[in-house]
Amino acid sequence: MYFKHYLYFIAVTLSILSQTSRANNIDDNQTFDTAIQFNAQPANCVALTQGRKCFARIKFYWKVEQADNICLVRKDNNYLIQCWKNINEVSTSIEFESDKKVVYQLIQQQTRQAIAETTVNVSWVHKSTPRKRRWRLF
Amino acid sequence: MKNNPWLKTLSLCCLLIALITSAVASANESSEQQSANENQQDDFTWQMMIGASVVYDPSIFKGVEDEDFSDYLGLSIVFDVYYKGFFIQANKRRASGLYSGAELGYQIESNEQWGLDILTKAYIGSYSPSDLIEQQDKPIPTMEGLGTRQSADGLALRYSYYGEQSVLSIDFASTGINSSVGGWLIESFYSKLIPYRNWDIYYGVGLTYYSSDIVDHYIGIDADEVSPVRAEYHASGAFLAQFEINALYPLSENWTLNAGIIQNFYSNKITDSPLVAHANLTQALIGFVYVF
Repeated sequence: MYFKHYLYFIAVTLSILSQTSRANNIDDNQTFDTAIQFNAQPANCVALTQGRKCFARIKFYWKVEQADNICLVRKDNNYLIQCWKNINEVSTSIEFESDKKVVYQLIQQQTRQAIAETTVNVSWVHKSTPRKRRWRLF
Repeated sequence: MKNNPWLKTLSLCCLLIALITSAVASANESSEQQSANENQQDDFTWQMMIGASVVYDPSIFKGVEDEDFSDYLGLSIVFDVYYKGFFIQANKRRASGLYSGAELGYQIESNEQWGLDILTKAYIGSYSPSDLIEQQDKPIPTMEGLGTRQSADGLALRYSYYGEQSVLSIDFASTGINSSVGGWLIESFYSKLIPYRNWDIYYGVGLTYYSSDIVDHYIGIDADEVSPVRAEYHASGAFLAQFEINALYPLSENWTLNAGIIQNFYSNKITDSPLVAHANLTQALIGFVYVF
């Protein structure tokens, strides 16, 4: 039983990853159905210094017109975050950790197509400088 | 005030050695290193910050206490500039009232392992006993009739050793060249950054040695200043040890939250003065800084 689930998970993952990988290579400026709601909050993560990793708890919300089997994937490394079956609205959250912007996609399992994407940007307060210095409070 | 000609000579020698060292180092550089240094030193960078904070910064002196709300409020404007090795920067009180502590200097050498700067800064701020008396509700007998103590502006060589997320720096400073306070000091400080998620947490340990001229200037009592509550006092060199923790957190692309606490321990030569009330002092602050 568990083995079947495991195989199913592997198969779905591999198919989605190959699809998203191909999609990335073919078309980075693809357009999506505007009726699909997909957003991340906060959409911007602020680090203290340029080049440093930024950490945040990101809340995703997505809603499609009809219930479907949909997966949430990180686009740059095709990391599968989570899949849902026969559902049209989801709210979920993840731990974000990156030094550059990350694009997330919703993938429809049946068609293996990206149906929506959203971006979490990374910005900073202090620009990176090669000059090293000490830092004192008083 | 005591100006020691020997110290001035020593300081000028230090300055001369620094310039010669710089020239020799430059001459010995390979073209590759030179190119890398030039690329780094061509950079013009600047940063301006304004900050507001709640500060707990008690005085070391007898009878001087924080009384008004304004005593606990710190406002600051910080302007850092770097151009071709020359810099103006503020290392102290970055998150609170920056009334002094700005450093003007030149970066003689800077590489991955160590750096050498020549700089000038006010190592100890001035204070006016008459102003302190005026600001307090209660009289301060130990301060009555004393003249203003000028700030100890020092010319220094700063050696910095860079470790993994840490800096050890040592200032060798003479205050006899560009201020009326003769003397010298060695200020060492080690700080270690320990990042935690978006927080920058700095742990710092400092040890400073002040020569007798400096200690005498600030907390010494000369024969003509003796009073019934103020015996003559002359000190030899003294130490200040410091331990600090401070933390920064980014609130947005322009705002940071800064907080910290520092514990100061003064050696006997300071605490034995009739003017001084505390052997150790705790300073703390929490505030917001706007970064342009």
